[in-house]
Amino acid sequence: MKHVAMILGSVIFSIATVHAADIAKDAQEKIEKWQDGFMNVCQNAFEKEAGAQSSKEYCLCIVDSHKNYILGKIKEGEKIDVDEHLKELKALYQNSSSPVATEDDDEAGEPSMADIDIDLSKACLDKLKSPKAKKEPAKK
Amino acid sequence: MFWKTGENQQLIKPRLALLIMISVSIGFKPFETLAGPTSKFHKLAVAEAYDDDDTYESIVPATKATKKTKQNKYYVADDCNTKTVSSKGGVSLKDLVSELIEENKLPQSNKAKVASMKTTSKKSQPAKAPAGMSKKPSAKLKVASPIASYTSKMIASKNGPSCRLHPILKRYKTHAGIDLAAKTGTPIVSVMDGVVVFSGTAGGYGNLVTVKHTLPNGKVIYSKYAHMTTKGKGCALPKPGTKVKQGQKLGCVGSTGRSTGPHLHFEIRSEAKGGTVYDSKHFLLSNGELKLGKTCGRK
Repeated sequence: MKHVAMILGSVIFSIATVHAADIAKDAQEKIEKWQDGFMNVCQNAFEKEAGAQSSKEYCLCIVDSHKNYILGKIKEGEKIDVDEHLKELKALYQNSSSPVATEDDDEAGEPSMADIDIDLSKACLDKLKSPKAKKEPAKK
Repeated sequence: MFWKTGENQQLIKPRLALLIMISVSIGFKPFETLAGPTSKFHKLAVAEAYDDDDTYESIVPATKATKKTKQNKYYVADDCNTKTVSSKGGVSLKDLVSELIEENKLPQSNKAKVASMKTTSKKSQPAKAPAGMSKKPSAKLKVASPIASYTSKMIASKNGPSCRLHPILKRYKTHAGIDLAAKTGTPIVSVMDGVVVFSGTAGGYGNLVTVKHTLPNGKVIYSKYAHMTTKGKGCALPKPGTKVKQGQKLGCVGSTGRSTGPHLHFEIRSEAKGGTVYDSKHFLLSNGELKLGKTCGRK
């Protein structure tokens, strides 16, 4: 009986692992397809708001951050709508109306794409600003 | 108390007293952790009492200490943090009080309260609770920290509801609660008695538990605990309709929903969904006082 349970358990575990890997692969493909379009939108927004300097680096960093975020959620077994996430993220950068936009959605309450992107973009900028990151291109 | 018995009593007493004096003078609060998983802010009010022989006598909540007051007990207090100290023990009381006021970021006016307490205690009258700390527990709410390991000082260092700015897009976004970072699986407890009105996944909140509370004045408020994990032992969410006591476990810290790392997002609102955002940080630090939260539309 114990053996049966163990075999059954390992089969379920391996099916779940394979399933998670498939979802991750699918997500990665979706991100790659979406990336080019987002880079244009992001670089435009960055240049409008913060100047042309390091816009490409920043936008690649944002893509990477969100990719890691999505894959991390999939790995943890959390349901995440990848299409919706990517669509919302692009819209966030597309609709950035200069000079200052306010998104006061406290009535709805739930954290929006701006919430997550504030954290990720801050981390991304810190990474770009760090002395280590600045030294790396010089080494090349 | 264990240190009052045994053969080494004479040695232990002065050493323990010295240790406590040093701890207080360097701002270390070893006894705050005594509150444990059901810690409430009023339990953080620690009394360090010394008897006439300069030996350590007891560590008790300040409310109990007031009953036991013998003489020369001084209070430094705000709404949630009270310290009782004695002039005995070889440390200048003036210095100690100044240090406690500074350490707890209390207004200088508290010095006047200290002076006033000194007068009343000298007459051996029962010590009155200082302003902001009611002597009747029922008259003022007592609010528990949603994460037991968070002291009032740690919560004070966090940002309450605020209007955040996106560093590139220059877009303002309301953050309606307070974020308390903790390891995945850390227990989350109810801040007050109440009834669970929602538990489950709620979009960007991830796994969310909403608890309905009725304040003594009849006002109804809702506390929200977001980004919880359901993985792990004892991390299952309570069912809606479950009555919860203050300090009762509601779930575990996680990073579900729109969250970049494990933390508890804690909110106080006037409605279960939407409604007015109250300042959750102020609510915790002031033992249940309601104040409108800062939002992008209401600065």
